[in-house]
Amino acid sequence: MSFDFIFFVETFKVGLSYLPTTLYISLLPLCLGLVIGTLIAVARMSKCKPLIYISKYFVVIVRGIPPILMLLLFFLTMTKIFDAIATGLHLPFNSSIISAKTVVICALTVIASANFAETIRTSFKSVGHGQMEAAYTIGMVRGMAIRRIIIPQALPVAIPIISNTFISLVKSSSLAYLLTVIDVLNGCKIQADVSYKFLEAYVAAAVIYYIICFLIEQMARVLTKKVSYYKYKSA
Amino acid sequence: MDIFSFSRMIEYFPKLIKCLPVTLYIVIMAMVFGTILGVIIALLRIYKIPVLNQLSAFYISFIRGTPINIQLFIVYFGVPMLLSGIYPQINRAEPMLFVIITYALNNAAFFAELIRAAVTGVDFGQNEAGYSIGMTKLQTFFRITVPQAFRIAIPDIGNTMINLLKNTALAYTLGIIDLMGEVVVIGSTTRHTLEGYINVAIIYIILSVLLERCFLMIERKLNVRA
Amino acid sequence: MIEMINIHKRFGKNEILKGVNIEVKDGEVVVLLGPSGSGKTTLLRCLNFLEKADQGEIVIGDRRVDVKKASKKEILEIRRCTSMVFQQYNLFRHKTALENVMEGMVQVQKKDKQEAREQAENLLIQVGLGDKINFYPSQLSGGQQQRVGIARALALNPEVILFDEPTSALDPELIGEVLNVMRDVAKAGKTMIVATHEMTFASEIADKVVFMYDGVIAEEGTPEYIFHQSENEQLTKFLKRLREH
Repeated sequence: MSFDFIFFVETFKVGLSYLPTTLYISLLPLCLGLVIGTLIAVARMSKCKPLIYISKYFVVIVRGIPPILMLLLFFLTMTKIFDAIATGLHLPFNSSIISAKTVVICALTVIASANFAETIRTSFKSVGHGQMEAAYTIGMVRGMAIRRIIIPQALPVAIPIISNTFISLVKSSSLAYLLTVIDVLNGCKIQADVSYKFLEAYVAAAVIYYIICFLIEQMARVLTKKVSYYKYKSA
Repeated sequence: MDIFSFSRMIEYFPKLIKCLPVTLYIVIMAMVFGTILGVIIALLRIYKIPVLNQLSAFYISFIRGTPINIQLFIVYFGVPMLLSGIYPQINRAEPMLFVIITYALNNAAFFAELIRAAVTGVDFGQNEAGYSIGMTKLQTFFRITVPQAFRIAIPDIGNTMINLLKNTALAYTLGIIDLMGEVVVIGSTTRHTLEGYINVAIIYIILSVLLERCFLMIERKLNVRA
Repeated sequence: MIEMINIHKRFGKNEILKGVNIEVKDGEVVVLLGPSGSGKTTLLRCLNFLEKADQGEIVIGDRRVDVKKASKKEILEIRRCTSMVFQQYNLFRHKTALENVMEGMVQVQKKDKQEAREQAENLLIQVGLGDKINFYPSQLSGGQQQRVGIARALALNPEVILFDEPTSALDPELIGEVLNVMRDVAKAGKTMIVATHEMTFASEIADKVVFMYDGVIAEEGTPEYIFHQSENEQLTKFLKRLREH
């Protein structure tokens, strides 16, 4: 047995053609997660006790569940719950409109939301209360202070963490093959189902994921540097 | 349709908890071998040993940049191929070996990185203080740098361990009967898996919270001493 | 004129301010003296509504606010006619010295950008930082940062500037430059309330010194009276300890 390099290159090309799917099922959760995560972080930083508890336990619970398990739980319950609601409300459609991709996106969105809620909270905290007070003393209202003073200083802390979460999402999205979604990993695997050259297929997939993650990291690095313009580095 | 029953959930719980040792076994083995390998890689990086330093850097970024479920299969198919010349008796029927190799290799990369960050995070003035009271380089490293680096690394060690624990949920894809594997076993006879998965989720959440608490406690204890 | 009437403030079980009355005339410089924990900082923060007092009234010019009933609009109004200089400077770290000074003028007072820039430049020249206008806080020394902080407060042309121990975080050799700027501000006729331990500065510049002890005003008067004549027991003890340093 030896490594079939030609098959590897062929599989690599096939895998690459499924890149849009992988990006779709990881980018959408990233964006949705940022929105929901922000809302959760706001709830957590509010003064309303029930909201604080709900957001806190949501984060603890979601972060304790392995991604694969989250995916399977969504797979087993989502269509059933959707059907129950649809028939209850006499809606003209049923769970057949929910594709496997949708299930993956929902599960990953929940994971991303919990992570981003924490990210946003810690990066806000890192700015320090003094900045908020200084904004108040020059007469700013809360919203303006957050927009002009807090967020620009939270970004250098937040961007590297957001990039790490994005990388985790891309990697977790490869679990979608278990729900028969044809993404980069599954695209490569299918090639091996005929030839039995599994190692080559998996290595090809790994290389593609590595390149995606590498690019995300580089982009985040450039972006972080850009938003950290005000940090003076003494030679 | 009957997709969830509370009584089934309770019925399955004892069966699942019996498989918890398998999950913990994987975590512990991966921690032990991963730490040893991680320390070696970290030292190569810290002392910038030529060639090996670059190789280590690539290794770390590759492990961090690829999904662990793919790593599992690469090891599962790749290790026997690598060893076919020297040790052809290696047998795919023993998936636990491949699982432990994967998680140890994976953990080593994360550990190497956090060790390096911690050691380089110790203020150089601390080294100088060590030398100034007449300690040798080795003494300074073990008596001054390591304890302080340990304190810096604690939160990261906690996070890495929690991630490792959660990652073990994938071992069942190689046929290991751990928590997740047992749900599949139960499902194959009863056709009910949801209750099992919910049980497993609860177990994982509890373990994660316990680990987190544990590391917070260690962190507080060490910070009091500082 | 600025007045704080019967101000009370507690944090949990700790009553920090137990009914403080203070009056500051236009153009006056009032120095707040007192051991740490006596309530100086809290009093300043209550006047700026960084803390909301539990009880009392605040009067600035013709604005009169009952703190208990203060609406958001009233709080904002009070904030906009007061300005604070912090112990830890609290410059906006992502903005240059110039942008720090301009921020309030442009964003809050909606002044024309060009006009604001000119004013900000002049202010920075006044505080001796004409050559540092494009530096970020991380590139400035503590004394320089604090001088930008003063320029930022001045820029809004507030009715009163509050100084919360502006020199206690500074290295001794940098204190002088900040005190000099504060002296200039006082001479220009600005109303100032200054919490500080700098006795020389107080006796030289202050029109009135207020000694706080345990949440109340224990003694007040001219610097001459406070530093040389008063026989208040807590005050003499406090001054003795301060002079020993």
